Amino acid sequence: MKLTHDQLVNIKAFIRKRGLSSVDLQLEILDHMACRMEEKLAEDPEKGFDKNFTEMQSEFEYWRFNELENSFRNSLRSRYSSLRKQTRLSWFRFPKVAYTLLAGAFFYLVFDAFDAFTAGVFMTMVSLLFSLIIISRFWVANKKYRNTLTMRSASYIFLPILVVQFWILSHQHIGSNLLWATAYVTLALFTLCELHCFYITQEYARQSCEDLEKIYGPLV
Amino acid sequence: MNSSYLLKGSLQVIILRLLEIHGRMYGYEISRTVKEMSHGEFQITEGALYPALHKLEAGGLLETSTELVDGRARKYYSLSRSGKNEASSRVSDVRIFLDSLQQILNLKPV
Repeated sequence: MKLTHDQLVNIKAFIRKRGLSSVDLQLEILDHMACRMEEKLAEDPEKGFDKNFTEMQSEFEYWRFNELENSFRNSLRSRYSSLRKQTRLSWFRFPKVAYTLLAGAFFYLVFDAFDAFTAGVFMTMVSLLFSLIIISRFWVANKKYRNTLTMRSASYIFLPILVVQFWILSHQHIGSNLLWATAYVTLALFTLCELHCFYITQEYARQSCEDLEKIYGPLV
Repeated sequence: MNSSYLLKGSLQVIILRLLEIHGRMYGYEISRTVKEMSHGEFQITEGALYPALHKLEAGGLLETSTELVDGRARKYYSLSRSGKNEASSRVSDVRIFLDSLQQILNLKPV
């Protein structure tokens, strides 16, 4: 016996009332409870939806949704972490390694042409510019899918920009020797690579939410 | 029979084995199948099932796909390539373990 739209809305309201806030996880639990409800209605159709629904609520009373959210969040974080790892490795694989070398050469030229302070400011400005571009690109998606764990778990803070600022403050006196040039280029590439990881993670999360939305409708 | 504490350690293997046989399954289907196959002896609680599924998915052993079924989104789980290898390996481990356990349990007290 298939459930009507209103009956599904009632089950969804129960799930929300129990404190499960993430919409993407709600969908999975909604299907589980709806299956149980259909089974109960098939076993005893004369009892009707309301009575069976009350019984089902007490069946699921013990279910701790915060544990469920934690396991889902951990699963997503693990997936994103693996995605970032693949992205980092791609910087050292052919043909992308050519771009890495080109970017490294570019930052070396900047370091060589100016003093360390100017080079540090340049690196910070480049990092901030890319950060702003990425944040603005995914601003709408982060707002639209803020109720999903898929999107919420895709945000992470990385520290290269702070490291660069520390560089500027503490190494204004350094000269253009090879050791500092190598450190500078490494930091610059690391920053860009992390920004790339951030972009890939956000893109994946947005795509996943959009795919789910295409199947189910608005994720609200 | 209170089998929940025995079931706890075997839950991931059960899920992997079921997916190996059925190809793809959704959460409720897994718990119902286990209940039916064990004639009601094994009952997987939702609080144990979904964290186990999420953990296997996080480990890259499971893949998911979502479809619209009867007005609601249904998430199907299936084995990934590494999940297929892991399923065979874990089932084989459990068989060896059960054989050893059987031999120990069959020993008569001295």
